[in-house]
Amino acid sequence: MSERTSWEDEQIHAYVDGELDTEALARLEADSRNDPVLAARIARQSELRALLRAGFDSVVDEPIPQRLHEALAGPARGAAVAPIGAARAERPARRPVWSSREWGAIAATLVLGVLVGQLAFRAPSGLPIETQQGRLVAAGFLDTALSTQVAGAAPEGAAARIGLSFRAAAGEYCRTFALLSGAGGVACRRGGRWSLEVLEGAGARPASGDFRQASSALSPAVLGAINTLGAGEPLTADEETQRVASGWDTSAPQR
Amino acid sequence: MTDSVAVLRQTLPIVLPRLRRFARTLTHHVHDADDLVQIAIERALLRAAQWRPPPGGGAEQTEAAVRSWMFGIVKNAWIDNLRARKRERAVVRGDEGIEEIADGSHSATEDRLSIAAAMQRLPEEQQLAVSLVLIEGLSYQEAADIMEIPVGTLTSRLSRGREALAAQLGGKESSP
Repeated sequence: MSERTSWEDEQIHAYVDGELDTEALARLEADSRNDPVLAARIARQSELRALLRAGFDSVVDEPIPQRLHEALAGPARGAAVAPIGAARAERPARRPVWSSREWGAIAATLVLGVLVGQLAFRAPSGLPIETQQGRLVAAGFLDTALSTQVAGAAPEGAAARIGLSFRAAAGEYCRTFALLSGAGGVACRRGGRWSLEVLEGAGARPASGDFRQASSALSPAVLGAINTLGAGEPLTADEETQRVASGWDTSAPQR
Repeated sequence: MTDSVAVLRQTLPIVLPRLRRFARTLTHHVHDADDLVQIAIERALLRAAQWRPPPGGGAEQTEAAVRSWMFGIVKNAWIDNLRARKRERAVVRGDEGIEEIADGSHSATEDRLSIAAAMQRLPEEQQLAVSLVLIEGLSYQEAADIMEIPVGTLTSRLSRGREALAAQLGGKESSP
């Protein structure tokens, strides 16, 4: 039979945080065997801890960006650092993302609200898209994938896959991408962020859940964007690997 | 003195992955987070001469000391940045569209915030406490030292942070 015991929330927190002293720990564990309410409270706190940890654990396995290696080699070169977001603030004109004429054709396939909803729901960590000065930029796992994945070589369980990479006529690097949901698009590196040129909802492609299908077939909207951007030859795997190592920024000042 | 600088240089790369994770829990934009880490590295190297390895400490203690010190520098850089942003926002407005679209686009019943988004919604002092203890796994004492607050203050911030996160992530009721 069960019995109610009285433990404060803070004691349960201390327990899952490994901060309870030995004597209290033994009592708590003994009580939890007879008190399902207490056991559930402990389980909830352990879950929360595990969930939070899982949400950020992949960061420690990411490759260290080149600029941090450079900072470590330091101090001579690093005396003046621009404040966070400085690149953003310096960006000149507001660029209306969805009203541009050339993207008009895309509007039919774009169900932004729904797409963002789906992404937010499925995202393993963070909403992968956000606005910045009126444009859409990649965030979270999409941002990471665009910066660190070589085309076609997504790590197992990746939520995003890169199709191909190219330099646009204006000089910046652009990459096509597909998400597990079937959504996809084109992103170009500007001002230190991945700016989304085209974003298509899941409905625009066969939502097979199969990346190979999703990333191999370039939709008319993506092809149209590649043309508009004046794409050169796709980057080779070696060129991509080099960009992954040293960053995708071109005209933007390297810090 | 040059010795301690050498030790610091040797140890920084070891703690770097965790510094990046810590920064990412504070600001979930990859590049903003790496900006924080970069600023922290540069500040640390500029002040390297002031840093002392723990007396008689082995590699592990040295690593822990560098980690604590660096977490503190990241925390300060983050807070400096938040203040600067607040001042900026008082002048310029913007950058809020997509959150609103996301919030309105699906029903509240199945609305589960991503972990990173939920973290961003916490008040900054709770975010720090949750990040250092629940994600980085530091002891209460070490986290309190980094935050420059008493342990009792830390644990109450932790409790409030936990309640808010549980409510946002699970939609479950946290105990009253």
